[in-house]
Amino acid sequence: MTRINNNMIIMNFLENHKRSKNRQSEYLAQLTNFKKFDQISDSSLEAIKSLKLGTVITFNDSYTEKAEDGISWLSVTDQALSDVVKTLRKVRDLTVQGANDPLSQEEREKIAGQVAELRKHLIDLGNAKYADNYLFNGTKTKTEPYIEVNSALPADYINGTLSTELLKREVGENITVEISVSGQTIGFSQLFADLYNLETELISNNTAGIGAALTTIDQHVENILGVQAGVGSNHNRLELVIDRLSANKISYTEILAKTEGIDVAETITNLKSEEALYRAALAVGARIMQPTLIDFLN
Amino acid sequence: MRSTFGGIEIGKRGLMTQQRALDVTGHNVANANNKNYSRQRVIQSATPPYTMPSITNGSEAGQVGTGVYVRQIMRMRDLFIDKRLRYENHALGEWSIKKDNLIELEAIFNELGSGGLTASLNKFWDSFADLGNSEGELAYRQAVINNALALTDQLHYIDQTMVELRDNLGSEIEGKLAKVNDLTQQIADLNKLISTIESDVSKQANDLKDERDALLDQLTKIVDVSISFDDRSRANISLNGIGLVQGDMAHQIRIEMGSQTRTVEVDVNDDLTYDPISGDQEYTYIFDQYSFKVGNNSVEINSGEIRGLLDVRDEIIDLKVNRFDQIVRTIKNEVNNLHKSGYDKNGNTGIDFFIYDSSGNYEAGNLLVNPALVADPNQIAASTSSDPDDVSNVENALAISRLRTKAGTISSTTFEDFWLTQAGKLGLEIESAERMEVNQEVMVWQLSLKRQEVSGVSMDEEFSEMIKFQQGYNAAAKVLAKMDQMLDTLINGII
Repeated sequence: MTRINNNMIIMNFLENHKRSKNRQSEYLAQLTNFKKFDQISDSSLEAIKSLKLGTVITFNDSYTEKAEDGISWLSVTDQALSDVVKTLRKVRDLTVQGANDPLSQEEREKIAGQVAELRKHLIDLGNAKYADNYLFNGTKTKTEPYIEVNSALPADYINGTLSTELLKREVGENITVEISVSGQTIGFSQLFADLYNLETELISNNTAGIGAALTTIDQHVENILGVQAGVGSNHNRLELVIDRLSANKISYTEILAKTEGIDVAETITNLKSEEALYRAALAVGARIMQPTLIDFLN
Repeated sequence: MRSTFGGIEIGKRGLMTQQRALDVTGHNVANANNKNYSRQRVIQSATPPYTMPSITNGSEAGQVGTGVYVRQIMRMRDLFIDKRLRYENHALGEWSIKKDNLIELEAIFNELGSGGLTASLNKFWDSFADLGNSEGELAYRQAVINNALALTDQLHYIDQTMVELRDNLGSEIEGKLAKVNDLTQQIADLNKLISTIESDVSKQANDLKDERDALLDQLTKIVDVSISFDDRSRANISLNGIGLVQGDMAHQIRIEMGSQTRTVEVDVNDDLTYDPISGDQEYTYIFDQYSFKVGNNSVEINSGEIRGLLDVRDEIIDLKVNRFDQIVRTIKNEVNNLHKSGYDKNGNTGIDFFIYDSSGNYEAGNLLVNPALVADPNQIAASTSSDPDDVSNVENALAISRLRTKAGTISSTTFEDFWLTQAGKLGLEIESAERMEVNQEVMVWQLSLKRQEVSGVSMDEEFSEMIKFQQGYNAAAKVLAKMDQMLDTLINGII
């Protein structure tokens, strides 16, 4: 039979007390930050998994930000292109009017003057800006793409050389979406030159030439509408990306919560039962350590 | 014929023996809470009897007893438990100190907190990604520089604290060793006392032995010594076969400071290959190293706290040279390589993004952001076009930001993955050290409990002994009183 003495009882009691206190402090730490661990070594594999998930979520957020920024760019571009088309429609109306035979030279000159005004407006649109960046000069965002001249040569309207390199946003690992269109694709310089020609035809009263200009304008409108459709589809693409990213975020956050989060109800229950155990141990200790034979001797 | 006064002598011996036994009980009770104390027991023996000559025969019926004496005061101690406990103590000391210091190392890396290397590194890549997704404005360039400076600050801090921790562990080793030398000296002194006292076979140096046992327990936690006891009750201590305590003599362990080197290949010109002809260099680290000598003999310490400290010091070297400095060197190489292939805002070819300071050390603590870039963030080579008008060409910045997901930059994986793997490894190592510590603790605890079972003082037991000896004393006194009455009748009654 084991020989039991006071020291052993005290040692046993202290050891149990220590273990119980340790478990309580562990539960307490978990309940104060709702996480299973606060150092990697508390649960290495889960901690590393949660760190990696954290990075994925940060990536996700940053891609969402970039996509949203891209959508702003595309909206501004879309608006500018709509303005261009609207202006061209006005030019077309004037051209139709100018092609009418009975018009006098004077009236045609007046129309030519209106076309010239609209051409200037179109040059302004070609130099449209977003956040102090030129929309239609590729990556040369601080260089004005078009200059205001009166010339039948498209090249004369261009300030230096146009950049055809497009602005991009990264919205996924190695996935980039173009968020601008080049002035060259839109054919601004050709458009300006064609309008200048129209003005010349109007002034020179050449109805055949005016009629031909009508076709040219229609072609430009068609081309720009095509470009606008491209802008729209990029816009849609970015919106889809954002939808996907936010769906991803929800699922990643859920996995993260499962990896590092605690089941609060369970932890509190554990803490409570540990506490009960602790109280019982204290009560038993207090009872068993006190009496000795001396209490019963006279 | 019996002697007239023999009975008084027997009574006296009884009284003295019970009294001595009560003294020992008192000593036990007094030391009940002394954790190094082993309870003592009085071994009583009958004094030598004699044979009475007789008138009729050669001898009377007998032999006749002559009373009792204290043959020995014995210490209740199980030497086998001591031996096992001391053996387990080596490993307990080693793992518990290892765990404590690895946790400190983990706190330096602090990956789960916001101050970790991964966090700084991610911010650094993010700022490049932001620049790469912008129109090349100065604000984004400035953010890149700020985050790069924060990253290098972080690197310097980690490097410095890691080296500091290693130095501190060195001082701790020296402290522990001084303690070992102090303990062995004390043990040798006690050996001398104990052997002198016990040269008289009837004497037991119980309390001195308790004291020596406590010192031996302490000693075995620090170094993995082996202990044997000789026939003169002296504890002889040896480490790896080299004597530390031989009888009354203690031999000091001396520290010999040496050095160890580690050589790495450094891709100085950032072309991502190591080629000494193009200017790449080998870099040699020199670290101090402790070795130990007793007299002229080298000794190795293979377990105990000192071993644990030595292990953590080696671990720090490995972590620094092969992981931390390595990842930092690779980041520098990859970033510089791309940065130098691009063009800055003014259309000039990119310069080095990171450089090492002028100390000539290729270590994380020496990495700086090129001061030219700090002075003028427009020199960040964000562009792939040399046309200064191409202000929104930020392709190169985007390419640099993609380094973070580029696999195969270091150990066939990404930077983040590499570093988190290291952090995970350290975590697992701490977990296993913790498990070992708990195991050893349980083992040592169990053995201490067993030791208490044999050596601990039980109050109830002592009280019952006390009653027993008290009653024995009373009875002996009664015998004496009866003898007195008998003699009274004989001497005063007859006349």
